[in-house]
Amino acid sequence: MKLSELASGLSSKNAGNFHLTFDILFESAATYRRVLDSGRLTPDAVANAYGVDPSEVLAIIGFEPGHAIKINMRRRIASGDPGETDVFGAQQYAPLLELEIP
Amino acid sequence: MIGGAAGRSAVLCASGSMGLTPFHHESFWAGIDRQPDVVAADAGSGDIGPYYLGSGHWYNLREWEELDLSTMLNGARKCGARMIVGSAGGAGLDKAVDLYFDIVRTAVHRDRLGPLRVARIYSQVTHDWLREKLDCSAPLGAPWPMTEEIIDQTSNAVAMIGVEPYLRALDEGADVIIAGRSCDDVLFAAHPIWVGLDRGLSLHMGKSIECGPLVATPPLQRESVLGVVYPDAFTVEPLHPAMRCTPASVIGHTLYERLDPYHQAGPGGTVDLTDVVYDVASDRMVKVTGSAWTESREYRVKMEGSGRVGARKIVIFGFRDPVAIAHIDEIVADIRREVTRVVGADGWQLYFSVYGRNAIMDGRDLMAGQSGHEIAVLAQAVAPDEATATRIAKLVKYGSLRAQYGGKFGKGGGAALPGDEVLSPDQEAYRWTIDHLVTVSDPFECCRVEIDTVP
Repeated sequence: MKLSELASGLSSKNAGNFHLTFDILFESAATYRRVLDSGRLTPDAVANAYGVDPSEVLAIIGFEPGHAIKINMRRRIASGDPGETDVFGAQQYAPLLELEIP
Repeated sequence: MIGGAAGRSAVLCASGSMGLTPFHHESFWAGIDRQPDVVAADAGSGDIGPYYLGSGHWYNLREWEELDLSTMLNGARKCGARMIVGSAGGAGLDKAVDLYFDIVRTAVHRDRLGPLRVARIYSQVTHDWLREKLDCSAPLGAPWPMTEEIIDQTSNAVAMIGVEPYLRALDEGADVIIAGRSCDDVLFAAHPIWVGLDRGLSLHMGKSIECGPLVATPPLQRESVLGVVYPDAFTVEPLHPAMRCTPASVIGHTLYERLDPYHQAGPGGTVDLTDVVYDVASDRMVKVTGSAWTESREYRVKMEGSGRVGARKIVIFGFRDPVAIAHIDEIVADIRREVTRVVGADGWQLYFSVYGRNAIMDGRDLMAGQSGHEIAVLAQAVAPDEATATRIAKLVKYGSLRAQYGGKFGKGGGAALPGDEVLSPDQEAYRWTIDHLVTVSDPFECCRVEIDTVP
């Protein structure tokens, strides 16, 4: 299944001026576990979805109390620097919607 | 009551972003009826980019800042609450603290609310002070060290202060506190901490309500939210009848805008959220326990600095012809060559963002090969002076009209322009220069508190 079919919420946002954080929320602990334990949500898989080097995916963190998974990346450029097109980092999550999770 | 065993402290968050657009009065006054100890709101954010900090231009409309501040002040006086506003003016510059102080003073006189003790907390830092702190600095988000050169490139810098200056203002009897750049959580946590409640619970409550309605579901904008700290727990509750807090909504907000969901770091220490428990307290209220404060060995404060890059002009042009769309890179390269021919190779920057292809994610968009049936190109020209930026923008505009590309259909085929004028959004481009932690020996090294009685 696609991640978008399993998650109840998926968003991106600035975390400070130099980082992006993606929050993937799940309705149940079971779905959260299924995605986390699938082994498919890896730095390599995320890097592939964005065409970046895996080292740019700084962390993938399971947050048990919230049935949520957090992914952190550096921003393409610091927020609002010349050339900016998404100053809040609000529309950077779309490639994650398509990730296949068994 | 300082340091005493207060039973509770209730904090009303009037708005998730004071002054941005007017907040809704119904849920605000419903909050005032609950007799809060504090009416508070955050007016700033780093999200607004480096422009406002660097340029000192106003982020919000003054009329809306006057409206929100006056409403908060009247609400606070009605129930005898203190009023606290942090990160004045968006970027938290000293001049914004002065502006808010003027607005409050005018409202106190106009609405006959005095005498009131009004505290101002300034947290703008000077270039000289930053130079003294070079050895005690470390990068936070910025991938470069803080250096003399970086400080020279900085137009304005502010310290994101912790709770100590707020506690001092409360010690001195402040009815109203207007502060510069501050950690979002501390302005809501200040009163609970001041009356002796747990620091971890207070700061976690502050983080929970600082964005107002975002902690609740549905997150209706510009509605007020109430956070109450007790000796062993805190509660969060939205005040609009159609909204509610659920454990999921409160936990979801714990993740918001931060890299580490388990730790909430700030000046002087960290709130550990590892063992936090979120319980349903009513059909619209959540009770939180277990947020644990750990004091750090050093007191470190985040500094934000912004520096001018140059003057900025923008041009927007679009294409509907599929051949032009297929050759957009060729068109853009042709324009860039022409700019280079006329203004030279160096000293300017020109960014093309192709909407309909990959403007929003640029090189990170793997679907860039699948353009829409129409595209728009946003060209941003940045140069040391406005005249050069205008020259570049005019060359871009003309170049888009006269674009040459393979397979072009006859003499036409130039870009569709929304207008023939060069657009000037805010004229200037800035960039983040400083995003560093500085270790201080005293929290008051990077801020100062002044208090007046407004009759």
